[in-house]
Amino acid sequence: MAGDQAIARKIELIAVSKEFKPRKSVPATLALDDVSFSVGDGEFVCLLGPSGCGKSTVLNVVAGFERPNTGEVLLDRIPVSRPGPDRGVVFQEAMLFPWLNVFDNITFGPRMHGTRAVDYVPAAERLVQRVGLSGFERHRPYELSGGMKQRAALARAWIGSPKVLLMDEPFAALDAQTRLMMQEQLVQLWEQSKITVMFVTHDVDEAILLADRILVMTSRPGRIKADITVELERPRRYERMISSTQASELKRHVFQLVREETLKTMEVTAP
Amino acid sequence: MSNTRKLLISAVAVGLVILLWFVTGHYQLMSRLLLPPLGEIAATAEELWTDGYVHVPLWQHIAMSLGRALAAFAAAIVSGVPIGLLMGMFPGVNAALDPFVQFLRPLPKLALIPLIIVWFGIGELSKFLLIYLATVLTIIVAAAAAVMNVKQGRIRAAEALGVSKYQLFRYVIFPSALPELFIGVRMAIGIGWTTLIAAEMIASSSGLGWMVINASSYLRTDVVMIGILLLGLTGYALDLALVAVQRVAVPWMGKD
Amino acid sequence: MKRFEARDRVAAIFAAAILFAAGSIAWAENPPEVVRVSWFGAAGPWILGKAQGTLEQRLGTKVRWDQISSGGAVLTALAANEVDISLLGSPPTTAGIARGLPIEVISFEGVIASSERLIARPEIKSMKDLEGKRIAYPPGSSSHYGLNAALKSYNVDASKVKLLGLAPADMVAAWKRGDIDAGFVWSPFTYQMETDKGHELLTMKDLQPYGYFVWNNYVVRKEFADKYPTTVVAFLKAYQDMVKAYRADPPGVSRIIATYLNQDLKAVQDTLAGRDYYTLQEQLTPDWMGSPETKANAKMAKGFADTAEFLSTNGDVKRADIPKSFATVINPTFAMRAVQ
Repeated sequence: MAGDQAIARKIELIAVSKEFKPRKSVPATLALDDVSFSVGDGEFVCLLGPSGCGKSTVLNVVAGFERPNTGEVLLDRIPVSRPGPDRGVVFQEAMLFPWLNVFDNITFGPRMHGTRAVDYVPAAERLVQRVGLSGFERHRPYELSGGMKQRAALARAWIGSPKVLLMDEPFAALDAQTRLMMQEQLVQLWEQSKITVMFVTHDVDEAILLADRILVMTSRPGRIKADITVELERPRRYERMISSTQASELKRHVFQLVREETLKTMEVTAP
Repeated sequence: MSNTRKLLISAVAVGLVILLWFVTGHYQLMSRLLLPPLGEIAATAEELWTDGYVHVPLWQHIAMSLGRALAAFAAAIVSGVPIGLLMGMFPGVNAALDPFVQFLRPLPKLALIPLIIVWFGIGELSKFLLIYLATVLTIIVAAAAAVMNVKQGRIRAAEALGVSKYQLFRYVIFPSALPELFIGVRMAIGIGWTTLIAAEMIASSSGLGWMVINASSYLRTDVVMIGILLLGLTGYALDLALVAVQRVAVPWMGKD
Repeated sequence: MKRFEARDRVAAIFAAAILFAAGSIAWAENPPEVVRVSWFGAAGPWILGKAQGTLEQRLGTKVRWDQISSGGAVLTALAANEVDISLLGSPPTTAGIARGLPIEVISFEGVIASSERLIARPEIKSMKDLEGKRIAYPPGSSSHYGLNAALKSYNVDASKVKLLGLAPADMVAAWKRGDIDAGFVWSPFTYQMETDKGHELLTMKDLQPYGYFVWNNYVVRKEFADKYPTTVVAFLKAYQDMVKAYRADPPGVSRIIATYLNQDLKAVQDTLAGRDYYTLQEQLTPDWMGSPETKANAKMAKGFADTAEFLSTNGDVKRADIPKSFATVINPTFAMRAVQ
C-alpha cells in the first residue's frame, strides 16, 4: 500500500470486522469484512463508497462509538476503546447544542474538562476567526445557516487539539455552492495545520479535491477495494481542478470503481 | 393564514355560539333546567361575585382550588421528573418501575376515590394525593420518554468531546430533554387540573369543584356552568403561565 | 306477637286490597312497560311493596327500583328522566320546583320527626359544643336542610363549624375512621353511628317549634303523570294500604322490612315510627295538602314557601327562582281519585 512506510502511522486498522445484529429475529449483517489500512501523520484520507458500504462504520470504529468484533484499531499505536477529544468528530448534522450560543458550543469540551477560561478563551476566539464566524459568537445554533453550523461544529471539535479529525459526510446536507465553499475552507485550514484527517464521503469530486489518498470501499460487506494516491498539486482549488486533464482522468477512474460497487448494491449487472 | 385573520375567525365562531345561546334562551327553545338563558347566567355571575357561594367569597373558592392543585403539581414535578429521568437513563430502574406506572396511569382516578378515602380519610391529604397521582404518572412517562428520545448523534458529539457520565447527563441529556419534558408537564398539569373536581368530591366545604358539585345537587345549572367556566379559565391561565416559563427556559423549542 | 300471626294479618289486608283494587278499577289507559321508582335505601311503610313484590301487582306492570343516595341525586335523576316516581324530602323538592323541574307533588309520605337525626360523639353534649367540629351531611337532602336549620335555631356560629358533604355510606365510613365528629342523616346510617359510640343530639322534630317543617313526599314527573294517571292513582292506593298495614301491626311490618333490607330491627322500627303518617283523606284537608280549591293556602304550599325562603338565605336556592305560589305543582287530583 502506498504512503505508509516512511510516515508515522497515525491511525491503523488491522483486520477489522464488524457485525450488526439489531434484534434477535433479524439475521446479523456483516458491515466490515477484514478491513486493514493505515493513515499517516498529517495525511488527508477520504473513505469513498456507495451508501451502506460501511464507510461510516469505519469512522465510528476509529471514533470509538463502535467496537470491532475482530481486529484492532490503533491511534499512535495505542488501541482505541472509547470516544474522546483526541479524535475530534464532525457529523453530517452539526449536532450543536441549541441551548448554548456558538461560543459556548465551541468551548464546551474545555469547560467540561475544567480548563480555566484564561486558557481556552483566546484559543476559542482564534478558532472563531479562522472558521469565519467572527461576530456570530453570541448567536444560537438555530440562528445560523447550514454552512455556519458546520463551521462551528468544526471549531468545537478542533479546540481540544485533537490528534486526528474524523468527518462523516459533513457537507452532504449543504447546497452545492455552500458545499464547495466549505470544502475549500477545510482544505485551507488543513493546509495550515496539517492535522491528520479521515473524511467519509460518497462524492467523488469532493474526495479528489480534498484528499491525499482515497480509499474506495466495496459494497456491503465493506472491504478496501482500492487505495489511490491523489497526485494532484496542492494547493487544490476548484477552478484549477475543472480545467485539469489529470484530475479528469483520476475522476473517471475513481468514479468507475465506485460505480461498480454501486451497481452491486442495486443488484444490476454492468452492461 | 395571517394571525389577524385567524383571530377574526375565532371571534366570529365564539360569537355565533353566544348568539345561538341567547336565541335559545330568549325564545325558550330549551328547558331552562338544561340550558339556563344567558341573562340568568349573567345575573347569577353577579350574585356570586358580590355575595359569594354559600357565604364564601368567589375568590376564596378559586384560591382554595388553586392552592390544592398547585401543592400537588409542585410535588408531582419535584418527584416525578427525577424518577422519570432515572427511568430513562437506567433500563434497570425502568424495568422495576414501569409496570406500576403503566398500570396506574390509565386508571380513572374517580375509581380510586373509595380506596384513598379508606386509607387516608377525607381530609386534605386525600385530595392532594388524588391530584398528585393523576399528575405525577404523566410526568414520569414524559420525562422517561424525553430522555430516551435524545438523539444519539448529540450524545455521540458530546462523548467525542470527552465528558464524564455525570456531565453527559447534566449538560447534554437533560437540556436536550427539556422541550419534551415541558410538553409532558403541561399535559400532566392539564390532566391534574381536571382531576380537581373529582378530588373536591371528597368531602369539601370550599373550592370551585365543590361549588359545582354542591350546586348540582340543587339543580343549580347556572352555578354549575359558571363554576365550569371558571375552572376552564383558571386551567387555561395555568397553562399560559407554563408557556411563559417555557419560553424563557427553552427558547430553542421547535427550532432545533 | 308471633311472627306467624303478624304475617297473616298483613297478608289478609293485602289480599283484601288487591281484590278491592281489581274489582273496582277499570284501567283507563295501558300501563307503562315499566315504572321506575327511586328510593333511599331507608325503611318506610311503602317498602312492603318492594319486599313482597306487591307494588308490581298493584300497578299491573314491572317496577324498577333505583336506590339513589340522597335528594340532590334524585333531582338530577328526575331532570334526566331516569325515574318516574320518587320519594323525596321537602327541601330537595322545593329546590327542584324552584329550578323548574317538571314534577308534580302527589301526596305526603310522612312528616319527618325522628327518622332523621343529628348523631354526635360523646364529648359533644350540646349544640354549642359543635363549634370547631366537623359535621357531615348528604348534599341537597332534607338532612342538609335540617342541619342548617339546627345551626341557625341554636345560634351555632356557622363559620366556626366545618361542614362536609358526604353520601350516607361514606359518612358512616368517615365516622368509623374518626374523620368526622357528627352527622345529620337518616336510618340505618344513624343507627350505625349510634352503635359506634355515637349519641343522638337532635331530631328533625326538635326543629318544629322553631318553625321548620320537614316532610317526605312523593313526586311524579309531569309527563309520566299526564300519560299514566291511572298508574299514579294505583300507586297512591297501594301506599295508603301499606300505611294501614303498618299501623295495624308495627312490629310485624318492621320485622318483614328489617329482614328484607337486612338492617337492624330496632333501627327499622325506630325509622318507621319516626315519621308521622296521614291518610289520603286527611291529606286532602287544608291542614295538609288540601284539595284543588284549598291547596294554595294549605300547610304543604306554605311549607314549601317557608322552605324556599330558608334555602335562599344560604344561597342554595336563588331568590329569583322562588315561584309566587307552589300550588301549581301540587296535584291532589290523584289522591282524590284514590280515596273514591
